[in-house]
Amino acid sequence: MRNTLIIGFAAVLLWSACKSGSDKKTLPIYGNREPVTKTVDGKQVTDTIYQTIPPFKFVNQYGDSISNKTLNGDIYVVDFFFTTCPSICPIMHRNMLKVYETFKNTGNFKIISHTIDPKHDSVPVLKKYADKLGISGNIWWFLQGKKEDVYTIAEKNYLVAVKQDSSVSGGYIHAGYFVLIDKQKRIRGSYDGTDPKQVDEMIADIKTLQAEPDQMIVQ
Amino acid sequence: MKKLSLILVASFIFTACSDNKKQEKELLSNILKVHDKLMGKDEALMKNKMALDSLLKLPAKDTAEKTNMKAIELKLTAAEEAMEIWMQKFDPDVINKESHDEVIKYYDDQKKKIMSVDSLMNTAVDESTKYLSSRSK
Repeated sequence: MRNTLIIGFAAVLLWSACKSGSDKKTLPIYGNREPVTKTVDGKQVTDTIYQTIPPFKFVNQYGDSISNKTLNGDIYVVDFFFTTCPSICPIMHRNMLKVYETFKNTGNFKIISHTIDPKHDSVPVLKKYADKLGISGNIWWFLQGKKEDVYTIAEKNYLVAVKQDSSVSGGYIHAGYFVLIDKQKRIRGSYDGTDPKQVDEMIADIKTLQAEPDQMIVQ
Repeated sequence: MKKLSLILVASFIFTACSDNKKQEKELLSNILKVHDKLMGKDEALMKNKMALDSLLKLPAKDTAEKTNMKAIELKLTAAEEAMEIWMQKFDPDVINKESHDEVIKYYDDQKKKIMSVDSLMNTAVDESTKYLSSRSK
């Protein structure tokens, strides 16, 4: 009797596991949105315009200029850190290394880490930081730019979803978030970068995004 | 018997050491908590600074008003710089490098320093928030 029960239970478990595996998961799209009505082939069609990441320009650890255009066609993950950060950043980047190792050979994938202390974190400092982490090549960029620009793009764009969800007021940029951006530059997820479980979730979500059919690439 | 006392002494030393480490870790975690709180404050600081910046760019009618704004902004910048300097100088690894007394001394000193940054930031952010909200009325 007991055995049958266990087998039955295992079968149910297996079935539900397989079921969720074959289900096509789609990730939500965050940020502001607005409906637009346009005429296609004489018919009125309502479409939704989602918030996308606006143009930006920063410099990476090699001294190369990186703009929104450099990331065209890429899925990417964004975070905010600074090299002398004693508390959460080392944990975040230890977790991010796993993301880097998982996707460094897949193509069309990038990680960008914005320093929020650009006065100290110059290009050579960022290069040294990358070397120490064992990062080479052009998958993971550490970006430096004007502090005002970083804070503005964080607050108005990358972290809008976090702010919508969170009941905490103030202080998101140094809260350890990883934000996932799709090829159309839309926000598809935010994760606590200090929590290995959430980072694993993000890795799974990146795979889901990679399997998404390429729709029109915006901008 | 001798063996027993030896074990006792050894375990005493061991607990003493782990107590020391515990004290050091607590101090460090206290400092880091203040630091993380201030990083959140830094966001409010930047927001106010940018708001003041754009107000200052408007053509000025009242020069006294502009001087006042500049003074408020200067305080924000000073607090921001104090925070940056602390961030760049603070060495959390002291815990692995120095003797117990040195570590405690260093952390106590750093705690004092970051608390003074804390009060600088609080004053500057509060004052600028008050000013900006009076402007938007």
